[in-house]
This record gives sequence, structure tokens and C-alpha cells, in this order.
Amino acid sequence: MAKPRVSEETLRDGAKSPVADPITDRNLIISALGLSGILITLYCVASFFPASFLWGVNHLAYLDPVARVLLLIVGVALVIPFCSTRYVTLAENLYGFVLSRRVIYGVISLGIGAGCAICFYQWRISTDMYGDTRTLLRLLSSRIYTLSDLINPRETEPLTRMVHQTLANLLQTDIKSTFEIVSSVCGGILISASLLFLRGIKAPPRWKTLIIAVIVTTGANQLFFGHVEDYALVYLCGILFLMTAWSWFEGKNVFPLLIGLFIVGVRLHVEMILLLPALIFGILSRAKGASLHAGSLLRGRSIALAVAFTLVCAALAYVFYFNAYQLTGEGQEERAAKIFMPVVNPLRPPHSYSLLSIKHLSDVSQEFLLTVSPVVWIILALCLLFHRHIKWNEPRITFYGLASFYVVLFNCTVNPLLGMVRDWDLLSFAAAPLTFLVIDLSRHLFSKLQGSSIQRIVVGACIAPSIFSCLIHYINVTNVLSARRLENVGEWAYRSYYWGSSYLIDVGQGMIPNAGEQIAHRQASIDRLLPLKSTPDPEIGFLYSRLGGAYYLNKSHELAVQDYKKALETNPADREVRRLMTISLMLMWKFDEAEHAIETFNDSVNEPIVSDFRGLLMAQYTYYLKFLEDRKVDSAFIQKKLDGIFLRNQ
Amino acid sequence: MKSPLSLTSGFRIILCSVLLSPALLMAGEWSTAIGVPGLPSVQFRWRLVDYDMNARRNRIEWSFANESDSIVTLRYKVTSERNEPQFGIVTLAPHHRKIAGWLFEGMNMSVTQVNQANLPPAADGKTQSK
Repeated sequence: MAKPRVSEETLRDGAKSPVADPITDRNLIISALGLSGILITLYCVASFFPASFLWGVNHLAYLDPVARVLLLIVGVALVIPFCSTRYVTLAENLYGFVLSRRVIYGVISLGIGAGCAICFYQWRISTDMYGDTRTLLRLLSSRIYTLSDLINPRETEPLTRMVHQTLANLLQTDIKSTFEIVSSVCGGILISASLLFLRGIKAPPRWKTLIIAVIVTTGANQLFFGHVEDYALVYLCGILFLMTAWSWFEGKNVFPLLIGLFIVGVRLHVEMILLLPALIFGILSRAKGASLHAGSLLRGRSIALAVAFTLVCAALAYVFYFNAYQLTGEGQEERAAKIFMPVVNPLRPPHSYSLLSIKHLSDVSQEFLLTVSPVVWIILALCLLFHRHIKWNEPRITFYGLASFYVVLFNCTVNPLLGMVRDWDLLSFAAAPLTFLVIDLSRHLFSKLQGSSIQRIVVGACIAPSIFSCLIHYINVTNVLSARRLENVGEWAYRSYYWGSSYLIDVGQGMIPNAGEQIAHRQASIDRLLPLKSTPDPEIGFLYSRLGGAYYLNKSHELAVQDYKKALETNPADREVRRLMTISLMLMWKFDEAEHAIETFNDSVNEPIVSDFRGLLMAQYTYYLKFLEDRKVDSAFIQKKLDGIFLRNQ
Repeated sequence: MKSPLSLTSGFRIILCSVLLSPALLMAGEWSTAIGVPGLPSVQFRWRLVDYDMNARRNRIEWSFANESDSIVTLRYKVTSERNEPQFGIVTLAPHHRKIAGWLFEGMNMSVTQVNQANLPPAADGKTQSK
């Protein structure tokens, strides 16, 4: 197998590179600084429009103006060569000092990993919004995953669920806490593994400092902050698989481990299968020495043809197998069954979100900006700009390139059901292959730079915008900021993907502790979105329903009923609103209206089969209250009954 | 001797299943029509929906059906065999029915029409449903 041709010596002082020249260096520095400046400007602009299409980079919007300005100054300072040459030197010296002591390095790596796991758990995401926690926990409490599920192809993530259930039993913890612990521990393992992985690579500390920055500032690391979903384990497994692949291409005999990680990963989550083309390429690459036939398959044209063939197959499957070209209705079942984003969406503009719509392309790019480190984008852009200096046909680059290509393709075409803003965790898997592709590419890029200070300037330019991407963890852990972010991104989701947007807005606004302020926010959101309303509009209907709920909790029952009625006007199919309205009507002593509302509810929900027994209970409450009123029972007694109903339905 | 609370979860499931089996067998079947005393045109039926594990009571649904051509207003008292009363008033349109439900320990329902003469005492708490 061909070993990577980038030697440590070349990386250390690029002057020995045969193609290095001062003009390239100058252009590369200007490009790196320019790209860094563009990203910083993007973060800055997005901070003024938090509910806009720039939802993946709007982190600064949630800081106080003073903190925002200070951070921007720090960000700009980190780009300036005068600063970057100094702080990168400091970082690489520190890293080099630790690196030179083999035993200490191992201990420190493990210690840092353990410390990070504790920090991740301590600063858990403050809302379970990011994952469909309730759905997941309900599912796990209703069935037990067994070994037979591991070989059931219909199960998409059986091992992840089995691991969590088993650990919950062993640790005697509830399943939610188990998810939080496992995700934090996964984060710790990732950090330790990354440090140990870097220890094994022969490269200068300067380059390793950059790689640490890539790994630490990856937005997908949100998965490790106590995130309750199925993706932390598979993400970690994906990273370990890609690390093992690196060693494999270095000539180490780790093939069984590589295959083992792949199989485990596929059962942790089916999206791991997206790395299969890269694995096949790797196996062929390995067989190259033994078979001439395998060697012929590895030529650039052959690989391009193979990729084109898979794309044609995928396109045929998209149209004929998944029938994903067009949505016929508005049901979530159809969207889930078709898996991929439609080209034709029956919703009218602005909600006619489709595979080829500008809003989808914009959301995909924001998703990548949110979940992948800014360093990755800068390095990738530099590699494309200076593509002549990269040996694109090196087996390892092709391996990571193929892995990235299929995962990115999946992210661009999959229908995330509840929008990219909300389902970022499913899509964050792409960060793994992209990060490793950039790790490999950056070695080539570094070999073209003359002199250590030039390398430091490029590292500084890459690190500077990363401090803004890391703000997402601070936002997630802070209740108020997280609430504001969800409210803003939810409003954008309503303007773009539409489905599930009201839930994002509702969770954000539900976290506002002051009742009056919460009601004002809810009303303002509806007012902003009303001009875009469709007929019917389940999302606006849900927002009205939740505004009614906020008034109900505030004991403003008349206003609650008004909003419940608006919810029904906006979305007549929402049967639950009638039940909620019944309670408010009862509390207003409007028993006849309450009776009518609950009877309509029961006719649609509990006839002929009882689906929601609460409707029948509510009907009996209404008949009983009417009975008391008919008997001219003391009003204080009736009020006491009503107070009990209010408390039970808070 | 071990306390029943220390039973293993598996044994508890079996025990609950045995205890619940009669109720589960009856679930979903409407009772035969029961006439409301004094109102021959109104028919009362009830059925067991399921068992509420939290409240540890049977969820029971009932219906009043007006089979006459005129509007009927009925003050009723629904009682289980364990004497758990539920009161209410319903107005039934011609050839219409109304459904309601409640949680009972018992599961055999009977109904009586409550007239002004046999109303329970007002506002003393005895009319309350719980």
C-alpha cells in the first residue's frame, strides 16, 4: 500500500517542498485570512438577524451587546498575523512539551477525556427539544430490545437502544439519565481517542494544534452534552472507524478492527452504511498489491464511473422505489416512508419546500456550518483554490473523500421530517468524514507553506472563527438563551421547511418563566408569521392553541377560549383544542358551550372506539356541573369543583 | 414470610394479569340496553373500556340514547355495584345519543332517573362525584 507522501520534515519547514514558492505562500495566506474574515463577517451579520436564513451561524445574537463586541474584537485579533504567530507558537510549544513525554501524554490524554466527560455532563443541553426525547423514552419504556433485534434489518438503531436499556438496568438509573451519561462519556472517549490518535501521527505540534482545533470546535459535539438521542454512540463509532482507517492506510494491521467497528456502527445506527463505499475502496486499495485487476479498478476514471453508477442507481431508487419525487399529501407517515426530500411539494409558497428549492440549499449549508467546524470549511476552500498542490489521488484522501461524499449527499437529499433546524443531530454524522478529509488535506496544504510563521498565520486564520461556533454549547446550556434561539430558529423553520416549526417555537417560549412575558412572545410570534399563513395551517393553529394554554395557566379563560377558537379556525382538524376549550368554558361557567365542545370532540375521537378517555371524563364533568347548576347548588361549591378541574389540567 | 410488595416484577405481572383477566375479557362489549325508570324512550348502555393502572379503577363508558321523536332532558344517577354514584343532566335530541365515562372500582352499572323529589341533599358534599 502506498504510504502518505507528506513527510514530517516537509511539514516542519515547508521550504523543502519541491513546489513551494513565495507567491503561492502569499496567495495562500491572503486566501486564508480572507476566508476567515468572510466567516467572521457572516457570524457578525447573522447576529443582527437571528430569525433569518443564517440560523447556523447566529450564535452571537444571544450574547449581550457588550459581550458580542468584545468577542468580535477577540475574533478579529486572533486572525491578525501579529497575534496568531504568538498564540499558535504558545499552543504548539505547550503541546510539544506534553508530546515529548510518552507516558505523561497518555495519562494526560485520558485525564483530559475524563475531565471533558464530566464537563459535558455538568453542562448538559438545557432542553430536550433537540432530540425527540419524549418519543424515544416512550418507545424504550414500551419494549425491550434483545439480541434478536440486532439481526433484524427493519431495526435502524437496535444496538444503541439495547446498550442504553442494558446500562439503565445495570446502573439502576432512569433511561433519560442513562442517555445523558452515555453521551457525555462518549464525548470524553472521543477527546481521549483524538489526543492518542494525534500522538501516533508523525507531524509537528503546529499541525496537531490545528487538528485539535478542528475536533474541539466541531458543532456536532453538541451530541456529547447530555443529548438524549440515538446519535452519540454512532458518531463516536464513526470517528473511531475513520481513525482506524488512517492507521490502516499507514500500513498497520488493523483491518479486523476496522471491519468490526463498521459492523457495530451499522447496528448502532443505519447511517453508518454511508461509509460502505469508502470501505470497499479501502479493501480494493489493500488488494491492489495482490491483484492487478484491483489496481485497474482504482484509477481515477474507474472510481468516477463507479460513483456515477451508484448515483444513477440512487436516482432510480429515489423515483421508482421510494416514490420520493412527489408528495401527495401532508401526512408525516408519507414523508417518513419516502425518506427523501420531494422535488414536488403540494404545499403552496412559502411552504413549498423541496429538494431543489433555494431554501433547502440554504438550510443544508447552514446545517453544515452549525455541525462542522469552521476550520473544515476554510481548509476545504483553500484546498479547492490551490487544488494543484494536493495529491487528490492518494488512497487515503480518496477514502475520506468517498466517505464524505456519500454522507453529504445523504444530508442534502434526506427529508428530516421535522426540518433541518430541529433534526441537526441526525445530520451531524457528516462532521466525522469531513473532519478526517480535512485532517488529511491539511497535511498536504501545510507541506506547501514555506516557513513556520506562515503556517502559524494559516492556523490562526482557521482558529479565529471557531470561537464563535463554540458558542452553541454556551447557548444550549443557558435556559434563557436556548429559549430565545429556539424561538428564532423556529420562526425561520416556519418560513422554510414548515413542518414541526411551531413545536420549536413553543418549546422556546414555554421556557420563558414570566407568564406575561411568555404570552407577549407567543402573540408576537403569531403576528409575525400570520402574513405567511396557509389555509388550513396546522403550525399556526398549534401556536394559537399554545397561546390559549398560556392564557389558561394565567387564569385568563376568556382570552384562552378566544385563542382556542382561532386555533380551530386555522386548523379545524386539531381535535385536542376542543377538549382544552371545554375546560376553559367550564371554568367560565359556560356549561352549555362546554357541553357542545366536548360532544364534538367525543364524536370525532371516541366514536365508535374510545381513543381518549379524557373526553368521556370531561363530558361527565360537564353533565355533572350542569346538574349542580340545575339544582341551584351553592355557587361556592361549584367553584370549588371548578378549581379542582383547573388544578388537574394545568 | 415475604411481604407481597417484595414480589418480583415478573410475578406481579402474572398476578395482575390473572386479576384483570375477567375485566379484560369484557372490555369493549356493550351491555344490553337498560331502560331508564320513568323514561321508556331512553336507553342506557355501558361498557368497560379498560383498566387505569395509575388510578387502579375500571374505565367505564356509558351512553344515553333517545329513541323518541321529542327532546328529552334527563337527570340521572349512574351507580356501580359498589355504590359509586355519578350524577348528571343531559338533554337528548330526537334519535340521538350522548356518551360519557368515569372511573369505577366496580363494573356493573345501573341507572336511575333523579327527579326533584328524590334528589340528594344539595351542597353538602354528598352529591359530589368523587
